[in-house]
Amino acid sequence: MNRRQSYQIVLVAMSCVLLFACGAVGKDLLVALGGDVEGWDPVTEVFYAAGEIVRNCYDNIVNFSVMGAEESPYEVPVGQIQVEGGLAESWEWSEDGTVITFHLREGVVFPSGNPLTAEDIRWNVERGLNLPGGGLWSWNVMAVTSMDQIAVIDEHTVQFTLPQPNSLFLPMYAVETKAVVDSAEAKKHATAEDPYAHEWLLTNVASTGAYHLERYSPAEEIVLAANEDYWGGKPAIDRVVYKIIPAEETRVLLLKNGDVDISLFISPEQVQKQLVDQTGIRVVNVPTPGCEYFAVNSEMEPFDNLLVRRALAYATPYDDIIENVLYGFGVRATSPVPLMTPWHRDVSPYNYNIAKARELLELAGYPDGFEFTLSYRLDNPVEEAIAIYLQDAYADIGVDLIIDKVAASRFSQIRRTGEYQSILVYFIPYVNSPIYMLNIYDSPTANYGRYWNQDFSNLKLKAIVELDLEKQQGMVNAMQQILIDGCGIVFLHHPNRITCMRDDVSGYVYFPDHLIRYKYMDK
Amino acid sequence: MRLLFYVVRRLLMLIPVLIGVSMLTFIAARMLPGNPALLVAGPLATDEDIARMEADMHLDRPIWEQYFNYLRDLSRGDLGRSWRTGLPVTTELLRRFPATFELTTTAMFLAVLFGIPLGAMAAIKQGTRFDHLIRVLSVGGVSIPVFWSGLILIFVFYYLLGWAPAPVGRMGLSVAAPTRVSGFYLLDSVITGNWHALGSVMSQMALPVITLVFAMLPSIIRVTRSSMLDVCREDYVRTALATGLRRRTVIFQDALRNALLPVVTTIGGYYGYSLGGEVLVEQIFSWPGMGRYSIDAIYNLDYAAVQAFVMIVAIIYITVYLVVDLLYAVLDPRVRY
Repeated sequence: MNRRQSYQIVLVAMSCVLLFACGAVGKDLLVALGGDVEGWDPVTEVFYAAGEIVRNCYDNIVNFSVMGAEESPYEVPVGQIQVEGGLAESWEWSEDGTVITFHLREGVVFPSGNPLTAEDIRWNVERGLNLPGGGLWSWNVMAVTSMDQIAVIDEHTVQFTLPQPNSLFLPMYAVETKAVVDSAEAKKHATAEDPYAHEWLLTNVASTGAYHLERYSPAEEIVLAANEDYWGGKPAIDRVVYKIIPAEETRVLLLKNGDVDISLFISPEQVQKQLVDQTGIRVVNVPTPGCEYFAVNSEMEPFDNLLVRRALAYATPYDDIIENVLYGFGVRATSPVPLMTPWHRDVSPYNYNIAKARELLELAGYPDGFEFTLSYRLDNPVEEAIAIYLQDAYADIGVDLIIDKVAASRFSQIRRTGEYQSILVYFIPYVNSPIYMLNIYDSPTANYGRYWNQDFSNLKLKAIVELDLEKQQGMVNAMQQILIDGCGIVFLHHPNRITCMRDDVSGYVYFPDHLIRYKYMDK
Repeated sequence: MRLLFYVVRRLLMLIPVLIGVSMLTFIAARMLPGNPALLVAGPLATDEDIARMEADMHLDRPIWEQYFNYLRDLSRGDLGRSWRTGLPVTTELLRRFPATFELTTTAMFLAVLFGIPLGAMAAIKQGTRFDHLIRVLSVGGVSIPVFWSGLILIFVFYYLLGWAPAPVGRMGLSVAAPTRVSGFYLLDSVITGNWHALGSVMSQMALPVITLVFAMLPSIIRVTRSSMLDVCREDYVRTALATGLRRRTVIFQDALRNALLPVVTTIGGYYGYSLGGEVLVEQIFSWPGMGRYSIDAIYNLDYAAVQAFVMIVAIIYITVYLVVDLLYAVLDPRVRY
């Protein structure tokens, strides 16, 4: 054996030993993900993978608390709307409920070495209010519209003053877009054109979370490494490795073979046929507040006629769709306030009843039916299947449904401006609050049914500021009833959140925003 | 010397072509339906948010001003920034180009290595069982869609047999990429002596390359075969055989060389097309290449990325066809520049 060969052997041996050592040290969790990550500035992130990075690498002033497995109505622990201390250790509201004072945790230090201070909180609010695309709307819902409302009392105390009490303030503050960015570090990367370091934050992380971003290879993988000094304690999983695998079939095979620990974005059909009842695989199946809407444009003919809308609501094969399109992984939606949200009530009287539908259609003045267009995003096979079922069902009452598949970019536009006769849209609330949900239904851009009702709007304004929980619940009930009666949206179902993982993975907690917090997990 | 002038002249032709391409893609991108500011701002943004976003993206300027800014940036080598990721487009494309180039070139190389001899032999043995077998193979390759053959290969060789590694991209699950010298992993692992990485790179490439070769072989085989058939009917071949030259000499020295002209054109065209990225193969094998990137960019109305991608592909095509024309000069002594 010559010198070169022996060198080669030594090299191979060394790499093997090194790799073995690396493998032996530290617990890795491999997650197969479809779709790439696009810029993870917490204020502007839109795509799922970026959301997970922000959720795990950043921290908020308050976090959603967890309902343990024993009390949870589902097979896993569930994130709730109540919040617990995050970067803030404690807080108090004033008597009239308009002033809240946060006491920040002492001794929290960002990876840059800068300590967490009240200035960080203040700067982040300023950022949220001023950054284009920064979710100004979201701060407005919390009743924060100007920097005058926030006061730095001392290094570890911050105070917000609201014009009136707002029950959404705390839950909205736990949403990942309100993550606290290390202001001192970010300011170093700010420029005259970009005073909030948006460009830098798109590809860098400046915060203290349970994990930090170790490596990002575009289109290949994202690696998160555990934060040893995390104030909540070092997480059990040392590294989370996201592998970007665009093809769904490949993600399924990787999971079955045990090469990854969790596989995301697998369609209900594939789950049912390939993963349910497979040894070594656990399918976590949780009903969610996300809802699939069939929204008709109540400002346009023939949908400006209440009876027509109700007729369609009776002609819709709800259970068929859940059975055959979702393979049973879904639950009937019976209210504008979703199933898993507090104060949900089964108010919907609509069920699949062809006779009633025909009757209503005749009364409405369309005994021979009519024709209309249904638009939906073209890259969504589940919505396509739903559209076909609807088309089939409505044909029975003489209504012709014309399918209009729309590219994502155009769909965003028409959804916003209301240039549609009807659309299929899936909506998931950031915050699992009934007030938050109902707020959507008369917002100018997200009221997909375009059904406006003055009583509803009045009630909504009162409910947001109402401090008495009983009165608030009464208002919420009334609002649900108004929307169901008005029938601007036919509420189809709540698709379940299906997460597929190897059965040696534990600690999965379901949060209504669907993002996985790896700090709770173990292997 | 004349050759040098020829090459320079051809490269100078790049400029008007690229200007034309830039204008066309600029207009075409902006004719795509939808407002990119909406996509970036998200479904719950207010009108105010959107207006701010549009100003940020310079979408509120008149179109000729946008085009002028674009050309000015282009002349400085700045292809713009991607709206989705915030990174400069050049960085993103440069990262992805080696992945596509390596995969496509390896597959093309193997397809040519096998395709030309197989096509030539099929022509020589025209009508025999061998010829029929080759023709069945090539019909199969051209009719079986790449997404099917790719998935079947994964299913059989990875899942059922466990021979192939997990199709997670260029490197295996627990292997780190070789230190970046050129971005071409095969080359980099050899240069840095990282044999473990080399092994991983090669085994990761095995299945996608086989899928691509199977798709590329048919056209190469068929054009070689028909070209050889034509050439073998020519008078000079019959004369050469009649004067007693060995068949082998005639085939390899005279016939094949002349038959290669249309083959080179076909290969060039196919190669140029593939270098733009074989989207389906990249999807299935999780390959971080340009094809996937371009589709994502179009879908998300990422104007800068789409324009840059089309420009790069235009440059690739022109370069490839230039090489093809130069090869003509090598193969055909009648061609003089």
